[in-house]
Amino acid sequence: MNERAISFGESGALFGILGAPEVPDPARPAVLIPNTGLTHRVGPGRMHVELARALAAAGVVSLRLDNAGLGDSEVVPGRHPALSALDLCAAMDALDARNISSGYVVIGSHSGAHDAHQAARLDPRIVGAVFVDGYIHGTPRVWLNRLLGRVRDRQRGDAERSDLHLSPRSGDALHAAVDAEIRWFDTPSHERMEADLFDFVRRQLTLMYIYTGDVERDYQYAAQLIDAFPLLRNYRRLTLRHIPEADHRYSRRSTREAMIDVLVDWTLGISGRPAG
Amino acid sequence: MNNPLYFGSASQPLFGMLHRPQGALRQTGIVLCPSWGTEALRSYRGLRQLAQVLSQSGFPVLRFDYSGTGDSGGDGRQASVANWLDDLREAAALLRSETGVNGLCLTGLRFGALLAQEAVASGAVSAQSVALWDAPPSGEVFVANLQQMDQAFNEKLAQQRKLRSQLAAPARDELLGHDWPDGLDADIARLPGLRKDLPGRVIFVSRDRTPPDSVESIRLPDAGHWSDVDRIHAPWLPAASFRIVSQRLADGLP
Repeated sequence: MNERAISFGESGALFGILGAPEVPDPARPAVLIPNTGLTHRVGPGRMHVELARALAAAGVVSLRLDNAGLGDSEVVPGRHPALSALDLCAAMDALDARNISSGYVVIGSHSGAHDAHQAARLDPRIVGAVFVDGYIHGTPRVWLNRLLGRVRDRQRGDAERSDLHLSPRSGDALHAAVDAEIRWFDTPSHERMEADLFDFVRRQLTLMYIYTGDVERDYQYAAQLIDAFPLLRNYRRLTLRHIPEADHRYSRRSTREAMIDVLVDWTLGISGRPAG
Repeated sequence: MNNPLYFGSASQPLFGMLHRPQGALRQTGIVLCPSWGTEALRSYRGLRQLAQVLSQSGFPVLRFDYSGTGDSGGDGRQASVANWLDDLREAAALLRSETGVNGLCLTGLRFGALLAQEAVASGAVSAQSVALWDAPPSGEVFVANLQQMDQAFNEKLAQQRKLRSQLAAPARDELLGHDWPDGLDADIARLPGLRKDLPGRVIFVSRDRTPPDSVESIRLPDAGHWSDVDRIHAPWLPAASFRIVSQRLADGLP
C-alpha cells in the first residue's frame, strides 16, 4: 500500500489520498475520484479505497478527494455548490505540480458524475470520464412508459412520487438533511447536454456511462442514452453499460468487485495524451 | 491545525488525523473511537467537527480508522475485535508520543464506546477517563440492531425496485454494504454494556439512555437516529451536543 495524504487547493483547504503504484508510469493518465453524495473519500462501502488500490496494483495513480465541505476538506465560503467541479481542477493542478501523470480521468458516481461532467467541460486536461448514474435525458419511449405508468398508478390509487427537493449540495446545512431531501444536481437541458457531448466527441474524450437499478425510473432501457443523443451512436470511444442489478452505493460486494474490474480494465485502455 | 498521519505496521498502516490544540496545551489527549460501517461513514464529518471543537479547548485529539476500514490498510474481511483493540492501543501510543500528553481520554461513539471501555478494562490502553457516546446497552444489542437495520434496508431497496432490477442477496459476510466476516458478530456480541470495573472517570453521553446514578452523565439535546433506516446514510452532525460535551470535558480534564 503506497498512499499519501495531500492537501491542495487555495490555502490547502482541500484534502485527498494519493494512491500510487510501486513504479508509476507517467505516460498513463491519473484517476480522480470525487465524493459520492456526502460520503467522504473512502466511498460507499469503501468502494473508492478498493478501486484506488486496484488501480495502483494495475500501475495507475489515483487521487480520492473530498470536495469542499465534505470529509476533511474545508468549506469554501461563498462558492456556489454547483461549482464543486472546481475541486477537481484544483486536484489536477496539485498532481501536475508533482509531474506524475499525463492527462486525467474522472470516475464519478451519482453526484460525482455531475462533478465529472462539469470538470470535463471546464478542463482540457481531462482525457476520459466515467459517469455512474449521472445525467439522464428522456426519449419518446421513456415518456410513453411514464404515461402508461401513471395511468396504471391512478387505476391502483397509488400516490404520485414527489420530486420536491430543497436542500443545498454542500456545507454544514447539507448535513442536517436526510438523503431523500437533497437535490444533488440539476440535469442540464437536452440542448446544453448535446453541446457538451459534441465538445467531448470533438476532443476525443474516452467516455463510459453506467446506469444502475437505482435510476430505473428515469433510465429505463440500455440504449436510452444513444436514443437521447444520436451523435453518440457511432462514437468509438464510448462505452455504455446498463446494470439494473447494481446500485451506485455498491451495497453488494459482488457488484462492487465486478464494477472495480470493469473500471480498472477501462482505465488501462486509455492512453495519457493531451486532449486536442 | 490537522496533521494526517499513518502509523502502526508498514505493511498495513493505520490512517489517523491529529488535531493539534489551539492555545495552551492540556495534559490530556483525546482519542476518538469511531463506530462501525454505515455508522462510521455517517459520523465521519461529525467526529472531525467534534475534534476541532475539542482542540479549540486545548486538547490534542486523534481520529483514526480501524484496520480494514476507512483509509487504513487491511482487508475488512480480516476484521476482529482483537485487531481493533490493538489498533486502539497503537493510536493511544501515537497520541502520547506525538504530543507528550501524560493523560488520555478515550471518547467512543456507539461501537467505539464499547471498544473503548473494553480497551481500558482489559488494560490494552491506560486511560484516565472514558466518554461513552450513545453507547449501545451491550455488544449483543448493537449486533441485533445492525442486523435489523440490514433487513429493513434490504426490504426498502426491494420495494423501490422492479423485479428485473432487484439487487442480489447480500453475501453471508457482508452487512449493510460493509464487510462482516464470520465470527465478527459473536466477537462484538461478547462486549458488555456499561462496565462497573473501569478505572478512572467514566462519562455516559446520551440523549435517550440514563446510566445508573453512580455514573457521571451528559444529557444531550440531539438524537443519533441510529435505528432509523431512512437516516442510514444521513450525516450525524449534532453541533449543539459537541459544544456541551467539549465544555464538560474541558471543565473536568487537565
